[in-house]
Parts: sequence; structure tokens; C-alpha cells
Amino acid sequence: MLKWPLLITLLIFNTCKRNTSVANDFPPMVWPKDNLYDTEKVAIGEKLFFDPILSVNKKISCSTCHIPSLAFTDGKKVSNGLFPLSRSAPSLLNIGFHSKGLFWDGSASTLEKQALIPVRSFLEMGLPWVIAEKRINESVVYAKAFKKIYGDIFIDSFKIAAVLAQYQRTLLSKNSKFDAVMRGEMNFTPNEKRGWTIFFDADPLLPSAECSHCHVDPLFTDLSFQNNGIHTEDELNGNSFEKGRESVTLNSNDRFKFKVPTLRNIAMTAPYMHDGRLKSLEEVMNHYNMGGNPGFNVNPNVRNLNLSKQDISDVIAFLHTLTDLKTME
Amino acid sequence: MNKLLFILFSFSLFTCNNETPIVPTVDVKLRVIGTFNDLPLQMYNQNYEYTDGIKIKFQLFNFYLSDLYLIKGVGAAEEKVLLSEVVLVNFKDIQSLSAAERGVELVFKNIPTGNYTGFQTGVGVAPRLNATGPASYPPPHPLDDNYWSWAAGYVFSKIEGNADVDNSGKFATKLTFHLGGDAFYKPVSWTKPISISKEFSEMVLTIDVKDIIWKDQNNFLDFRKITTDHSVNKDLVSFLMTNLQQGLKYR
Repeated sequence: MLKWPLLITLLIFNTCKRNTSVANDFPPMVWPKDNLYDTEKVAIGEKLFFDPILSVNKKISCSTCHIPSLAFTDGKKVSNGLFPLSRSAPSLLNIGFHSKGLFWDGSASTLEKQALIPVRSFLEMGLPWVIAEKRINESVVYAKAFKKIYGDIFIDSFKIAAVLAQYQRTLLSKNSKFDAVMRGEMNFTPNEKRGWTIFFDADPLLPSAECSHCHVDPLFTDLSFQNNGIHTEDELNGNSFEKGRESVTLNSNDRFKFKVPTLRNIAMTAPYMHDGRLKSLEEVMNHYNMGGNPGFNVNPNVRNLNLSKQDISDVIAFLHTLTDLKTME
Repeated sequence: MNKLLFILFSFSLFTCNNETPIVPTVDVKLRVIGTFNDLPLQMYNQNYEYTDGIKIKFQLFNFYLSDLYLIKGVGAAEEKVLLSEVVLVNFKDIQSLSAAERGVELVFKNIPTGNYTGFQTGVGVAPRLNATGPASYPPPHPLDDNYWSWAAGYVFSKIEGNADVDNSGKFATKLTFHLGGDAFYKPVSWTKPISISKEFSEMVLTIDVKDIIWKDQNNFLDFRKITTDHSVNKDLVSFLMTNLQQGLKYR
């Protein structure tokens, strides 16, 4: 008699495990206890992500700035919701692993909290949550879907954010050529291999690009906040509206520190940096090769590299192996 | 049937209580206080006189300690109480004088009170832990970061900052020293009475960063000649890790 519940429990456990598992070398993804993985929540979250119902003019959805075919960025210098923003749209791939803060400045601690912000921001989607909640509750499709999960109760902003967070945690990128090489299924070309070595400073006989101090694999970010010397020293010491991480911590030592972005799918996410000021990977590599702008809190790993054109070309060849087109289908 | 189980369960509890006296536990705090040449160690906000007119500012100083034990008794009667398998002593956020005077605070939960005879730990990541990787540790965890995938091991210690080597006031020389490797894991212990009680449950370690990078006028990190190493120069790593181990003092 006890066998059937046990079998059903095991079946559910195995199904969940299959849907949420990632490659062994990825860190464990931590799901909040009050918003554990649920296929139904993911499905509503996905629908909402692409639905402009959460914007004041019903023309902007999350996917307006996070386009799947561009690795969930938008290809623009800075994002454009209702109005232009001051920062670019970061990739959402593997965002569920980002446990040390979201947004460029880390101002949201969880995806559940993050999802509350763009909807009500007058620059982005511009919809007060009171109206957003009304729209969702009055939608036959959403009301029915939410009721199936939560029962017959009012769908508030926290439930809406919860399902958006669920969907975003399923956006995984782990099937690039790099991953295949790590699994022993493919080989790098000689240039890619040389680029990998320079990227990781893995051979004292080759130059070091110092990339992997912050762009740690497998996520290709250590999730930290760093000043990479992209702003000039005058900007650093001046009165800039943009302050980076300082606007969250109120610590002036955090000025112009921004979250280290993932380099996965980096070839698909131009332009680069938090404000999109660099157009190409060549420009990015040149910036680092020159050691960035000086500044009291510029990460000291950003230093003159003395890389040759060939070295840069090889690192870029390696960076292209981080593209995972299947994820973007 | 249920009554019988309940009676057996109650009896087992009663028996255990008779055999094992309850030792009160407390949360033990380990403070690690950093200095440079005896001045409180602050990131960013303080210039330090080094040697030959060189000045330094720090942005990051951290190191791992593994297998932290309080020791009770001696010889065959020695018992060890595990405080933690691994901690990261991270001065990243020590950016003011008051924070520097407090130091890095680590708390170990539910440690039995009593009179201990010493404290031991290892400087770095113990080899068995160094053979793992961040994939084994759901964040937040000390070992969810500071990992060299290409070298399959953790960075035991990072010293990063800027030096003014030409007295220009610009601190233009960038310093990054990342140390690691099983061969450089260093056990360290102190034999001394440590009383842990409800009234007193704090231990203090000190480390002077100058002791790590400067041994004497002939043996020191000369930032005019070397500004970076990621454990390529094994002699240098050995010098720095040995100094780190020897520089740690129990106060």
C-alpha cells in the first residue's frame, strides 16, 4: 500500500532533478525556500516575460531589452524602455547563479526583488504595481494559471515577481564549444587553445591577459563588483550622476564599481561595458591591454598587458568558443 | 504498538541523559586583527610606509584557514573540538580605523565550554578541500570563490593594492600576489590555556602584513622589481606563505 506514494514521490523528485540539473562544474543553484522550482510557475513566468501586459503602454515586455537571440541582451549601447536608460541590458543567461546581487550595481539581492523594479520604473515599463496586479487578476488566462498554483487568492506583485524569477532561473547556458572541450567532446583550434592559455594566465611562457581573476569559469564572472578603469580619473574624482556600486553601499571606495559581467556568449552581446561605450571585443581587449584609466580603486589586475595583436586575436578566438547558440534558439 | 514505541523512545532518551552529561555550548568568536608595521590595516584609505621610501595602499588582503580546532588535554588524552573546516579571513571590507581595530570577525556556533589547552589550524586550504571546487559548495560558502580552474585549486591568499615607488604620490604601480598550491599549506598551532565560557568566548589572532612581505633588508618583496605573481614563482610563494604562517600570532 505504501509503495505507490513512494514511487510517485521518487518520480516527482527525479523529474525536478532532471529539469534543473546543470553541468557538474557549475555551482549549485540556490532556489529560495519560498519559491522552489515549479514547472507551472516557470511556464507562467515565461509567458509573462514575453508579454507587454506589464508595461504602461502595453508595448514593452522584459524581452524588449532581453532578447533571446542576443543572449538575452538587446544589442544597444544603453537600454531603451519608455525612455533611454544609462546602462546596458546585461545577459540573463545563468542569472540564477548570481547570488551576490543583481543589476550592474547589485541593488537587488534576489531575482524576486529584481523583478519588481523594471515594471514600476518610469524609465522602463512605467506601470504602477497596483495597475499591473489589476491587469493580471482580470486576465482570464493569467488568473486561471495563477489560481492553479496559489489557489483562489489575489495575485499580488510578489507572486508575479516570483514566477518571473522562476523562469529566469531556467535560462541556462552550458553548451558552448568551451563546455564541449571541457567535457572532452571537442578540441580547441590552436589559436583558441593559445587564447585560453593567455586568458587564464595558465602558462608562464605565454603572456598573461589577467582576465580570469574576475571572469572565473564556469560562469565567467566571480559575481564581484570592480572598477575596471573604464571611466577616466576626472570622472572618478568628479561629480558624476553615475556612481556604480557606490549608489548602493554609499561607500566612496565603491565608486564606478560594477558587477563583473559573464563572458558567456560575449560575442553575441556587443556593445560592451555597463554603458556600452566599447563597440567590439577588439576595443575591449585594447582597453585592458593599455591597463585602463588610472584611479584609486581600479582593480590592480587591470594593468598594462603588452599583448601583441596575435595574442589579442587568440583571446578573442577563445571568447568566441563561449557562444552557446542552442540556448538562444 | 504506538504506545510501546513511545515508551521505548522515552526510555532511550532517559538512558542517554544518564550517560552523557550535558556540556553547555556557546558561540565562539575569532577575531583576526590586521596591521601593517603596527598600524591598523585598512583597505583603500591608508598609505603605509614600506621600505626604501616605497609606500603602499591595499585593496584586498585575504587568506584561508582550514581545520580550526580547539585542543583539550595533552598526549594520549588530547581531544579536539572542531570549530570549522575552513574559513576565509577577508579584509576586503575593512576600510575604516574602527573596522580595522575590530578586525575580521568569524563566529563558530555551539562550541562546548571548557578549559582548552591550545588552538590549531592550517594556513591555506587543506589538501583534501583543495581537491574539491566551488561546484561542491552552495553559496554562500568560503569555498564558493577564489578558485583557479586551470590549476584545479584555490587561491590560499590574495594581496592586492598599489605602490608609490617613485615618491610621486600617484600609487601607479599595481600589485597582485595570488598564492596557492598544496605544497604551501602550512599547519600552525599554539599551546596556551584558552578558557571558553558563557562570560568569555573570544579568541584573537593578529597578522602584520609587513611581516609577510618583508623579512629583512635582503629578503623582501621589492615592488620596483616585482609587482605580480600568481604562484608561478615557487620560491616567492614559499617565502610569502611561510611568512604568513609565522606572522600569525595568537593574542
